[in-house]
Amino acid sequence: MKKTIFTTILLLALGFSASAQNHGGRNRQGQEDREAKAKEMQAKMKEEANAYYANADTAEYGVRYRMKYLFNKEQDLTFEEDRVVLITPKVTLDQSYEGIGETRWILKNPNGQGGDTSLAYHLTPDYYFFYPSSGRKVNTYRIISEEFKLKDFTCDNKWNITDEEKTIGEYKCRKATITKGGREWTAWFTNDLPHVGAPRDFNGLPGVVLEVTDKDNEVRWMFNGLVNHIEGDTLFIKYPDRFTDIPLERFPKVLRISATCDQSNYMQTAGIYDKQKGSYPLKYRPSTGIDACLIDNPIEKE
Amino acid sequence: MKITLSLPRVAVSACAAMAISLSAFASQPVPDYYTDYPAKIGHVTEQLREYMSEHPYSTTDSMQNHVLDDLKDGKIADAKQLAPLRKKKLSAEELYNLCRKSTLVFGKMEHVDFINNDSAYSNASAVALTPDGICATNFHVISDIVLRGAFDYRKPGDITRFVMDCDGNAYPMQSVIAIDALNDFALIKVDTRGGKLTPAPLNTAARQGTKVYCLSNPSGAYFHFTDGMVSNCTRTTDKRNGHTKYIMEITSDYGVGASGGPIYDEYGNIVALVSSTFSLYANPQQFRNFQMAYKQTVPAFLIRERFSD
Repeated sequence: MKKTIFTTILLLALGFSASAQNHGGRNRQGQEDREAKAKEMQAKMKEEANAYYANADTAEYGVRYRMKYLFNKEQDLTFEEDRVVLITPKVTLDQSYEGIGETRWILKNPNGQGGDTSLAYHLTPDYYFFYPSSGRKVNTYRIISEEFKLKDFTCDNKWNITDEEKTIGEYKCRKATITKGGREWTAWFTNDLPHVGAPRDFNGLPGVVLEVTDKDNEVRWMFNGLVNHIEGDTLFIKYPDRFTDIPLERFPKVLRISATCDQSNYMQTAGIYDKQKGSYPLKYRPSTGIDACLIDNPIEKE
Repeated sequence: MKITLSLPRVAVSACAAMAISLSAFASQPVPDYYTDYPAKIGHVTEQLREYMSEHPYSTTDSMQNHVLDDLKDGKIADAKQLAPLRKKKLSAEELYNLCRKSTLVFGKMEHVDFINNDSAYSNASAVALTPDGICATNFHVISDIVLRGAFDYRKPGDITRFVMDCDGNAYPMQSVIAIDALNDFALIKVDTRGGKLTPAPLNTAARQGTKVYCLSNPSGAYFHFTDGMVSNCTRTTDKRNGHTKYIMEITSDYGVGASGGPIYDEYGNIVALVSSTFSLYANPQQFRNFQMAYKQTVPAFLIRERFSD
């Protein structure tokens, strides 16, 4: 009897042990499968990103700014964002720097969590393309995967270039002024950097603009260093392949709705992401930005 | 003592007793407060099929097409359209009988492939605010209509949305007229099909400790009635955009399907709308050792603000 009990216990113990090993094996297999799938997805995203940027221009360098904007005077709300103007002789692009900054932080900190705390993390998907030879300016805005072309025009800013000079960083700058959009603007530009470039619609100066402020100091772009290519992160200037079919007059409402729904799963549950098949490279990142409902102090007042 | 009875004798006695009790039950009328809600939902399918044959363009797609034009930023209607505030304290039974008339089931009509026909089902709750068809529910209940409309995305088979009253009358949804995604409410308009809804009044002042009742449709349980009190009132302002989120927490129980359902005070006035629950775990990383669930609702004053005085 004792022998039978001992044998039974031994067999049960062996069984449990084998079972535990099987579970371990299954877990390891599951972990390997998950890792393989993650790698496969990463490769697919990289492939899609490569295809997306295949016809893009590559910037020679970028000028980084800290933008500050008192967008709601009543509630004293200031929007703050890191922006960059990417420069080539043929085309310049003003866009948010934060996606680039985050990518570079991850490259530097592959096992780190969070991101670069020096960034404002307030990504706004507005893009300003400028073609210096023709003066053509194209302003676009991306909401999810919809690219809106907001404005396509010739930039003819009538700057008043003064003799006043100051140094920003290590660059000697000259002062220029202009009245546009209901504000009086002052810009400081330099010829110490190659080509031309300026944030937003402040093009037309014979140099690279490093600082722009309005007279009331409500809107400011302040020079925040130069940006160059690094391994793993090329500075692309990508003009949209196609624009949305959504009529432009609906843009303000679409913007407002997406601004208020942005931080939730509403887009996911409504199936909006399914509108574009495939996975989503960086270009489809959801964006936050200025709350379109609350602006009582627009940058362009007229 | 050992009980010994012959089997035939037991069987005869049992059958006789059962027959007597069945005959007694049959002679008693079924109480009218037992309602066959699934049958009512089934009847909604018939009503909506008939309605859609008469109004073929009154579809979810059509709502999505004009949703951006329909949405209003400020006031949506005159406050005179709202029901006057009730001032008589009611018993729970009186309150249920009164407020059930204003409480609505919210649902969808979709094309079902395997029956090759359209079929209605319920998935949320709502409440009537005006006799002519303005109702309140959660933003998350109708967010797909707004977002698909904004981004020109269509989901095949989505026929229409509706609300159903406690008598089983279906009212097809016509439009979304106001939204507040942050505070999770939406005001919608339904076609009253020549009739009138029974609106409930909005009470904008319910503070912590106020006794409340929830009347909603948690999954599979229609017009489910629970009670509790206002346990907390909080607001949080996002410093980046100035938006303020208001939450009224209550202890009255509800669950999935109750979204958009009304929370009443003791007088039968709406003090809030069901919005969400937040579960508290002692071990939150593993969702183990559940402790309590906060019931988060939308305060009625936010809805009242959308009506002009």
